[in-house]
Amino acid sequence: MSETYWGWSTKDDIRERGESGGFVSSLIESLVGSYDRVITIQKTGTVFEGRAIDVRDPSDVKMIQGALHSLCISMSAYIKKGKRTAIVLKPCDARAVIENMKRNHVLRDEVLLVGLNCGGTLPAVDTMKMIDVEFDIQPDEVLKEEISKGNLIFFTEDGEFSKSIDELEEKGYGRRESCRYCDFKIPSVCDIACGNWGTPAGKNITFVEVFTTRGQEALRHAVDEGFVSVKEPSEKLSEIRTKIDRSMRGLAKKWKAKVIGPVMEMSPEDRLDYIKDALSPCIGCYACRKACPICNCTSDCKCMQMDPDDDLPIPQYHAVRLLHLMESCIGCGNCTDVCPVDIPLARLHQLFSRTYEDRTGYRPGMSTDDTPPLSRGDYPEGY
Amino acid sequence: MTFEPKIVAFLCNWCSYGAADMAGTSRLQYPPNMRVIRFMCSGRIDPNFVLEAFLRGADGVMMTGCHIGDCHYIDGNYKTVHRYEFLKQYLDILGIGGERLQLEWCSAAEGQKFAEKVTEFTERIRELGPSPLKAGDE
Repeated sequence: MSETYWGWSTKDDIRERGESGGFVSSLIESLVGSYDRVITIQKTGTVFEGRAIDVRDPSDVKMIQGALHSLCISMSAYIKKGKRTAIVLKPCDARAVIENMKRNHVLRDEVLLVGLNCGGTLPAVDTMKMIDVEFDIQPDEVLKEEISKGNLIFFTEDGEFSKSIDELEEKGYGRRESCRYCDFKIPSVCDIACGNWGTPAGKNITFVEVFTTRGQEALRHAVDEGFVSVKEPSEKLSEIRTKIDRSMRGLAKKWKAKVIGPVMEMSPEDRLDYIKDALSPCIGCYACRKACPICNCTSDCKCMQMDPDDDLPIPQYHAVRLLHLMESCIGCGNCTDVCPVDIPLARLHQLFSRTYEDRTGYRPGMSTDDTPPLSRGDYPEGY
Repeated sequence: MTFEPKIVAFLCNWCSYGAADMAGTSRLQYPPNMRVIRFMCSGRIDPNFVLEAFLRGADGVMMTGCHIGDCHYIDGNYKTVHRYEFLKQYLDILGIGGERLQLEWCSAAEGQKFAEKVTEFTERIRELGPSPLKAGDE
């Protein structure tokens, strides 16, 4: 079940300031009061900085602005069991929430997920460097950034600067590695998915897809109370949206073959050596565990019983995490971001989970009806 | 020095430990490479136990339990099957090789089968050679 609309904010200032017609900002405003927490992100300076905020007052909506591609925070961490939460998140966050629902850390009935289409996020520091080197503009002059039709676009007071993402990524800039091979761009696991794909250019309109009855109710409430307006999208542009999604996923497939493919093609011994070498710089800070949106075990988890003096070929901490995440890694890349010794953790976890997905068809974070493989206890066929 | 495989076997209390006992009392010969760890149920075999066995130098791991339908706790061994299949994939991707993990059902009366399976598995590991995780140690 899904319904599609074109939506925009009815308030002129929000429509002007917000991304693509301010639909999400106004939807958020309409939700204040009906949820205990209404969580979204806020810009705190340049377009490279921001933080999550709990919108308590409709006037807080003024602080919400822009897509903030360089802000890679894990939104799922802000959902607490027992609090009715409406939250704006990107597709990987949404999948993390679904994984947590499977493990009963989040209750489906308590949350409203407002997803944003996502073509990828940018690492803030590298992006600032790239803007300086490749675009020849000062990072703090950037007013707005956008990823559109395979191009990375920065807006400053002097105008628009655009470059092909492919070319930038060849040079080592561009999106984060985990975003390059992520093939989940439209968050179909959410209640509502919003984005600017499939909207007429320059018209300040958001393409809205509603997936659940909870999403329908929220949208109806926002329309009835006069926060947003919606209308039927044109068929032609809806097709374009599907096409953009397909081409982005095609590109992700190519990146996956480029990044994960070579490791899987190695002989088992070489692959083991590759994993051992990759993990050898680990200093045991546990930052990856802390940043992981899936890891929910308490401090007595087996992975925490790693004795630093224990001379095992692979740190037990990582061996256990690789095992646990093989059934649940959604590829958000937070672990790679926080690692102080630059271990490509997301690549390793995705190597396991994506290969497992290819072999068995089990894809984490897609439906609360799936049972995680390690929790299964149904009658096994063929034994 | 010839290679002697180190094998860790997880046995359930009600069936496969009985089978091992049976093999012993029947004076059946099987290779002494196996180290037995006894569990109340094969469903108690945490995937981490298998993992730790490999990390600490096992060349092969055997998981054994009651036949499907005969579990003392009714459906404990259903879980064993799902974990076994998951672990096999994991060991395969990690590069240790899924064939170093084996699942067998042995009832308390199947001492003969137990001895045969242990012999078979030991021979297979002997052919495969030492676990790649230990490379450089020996």
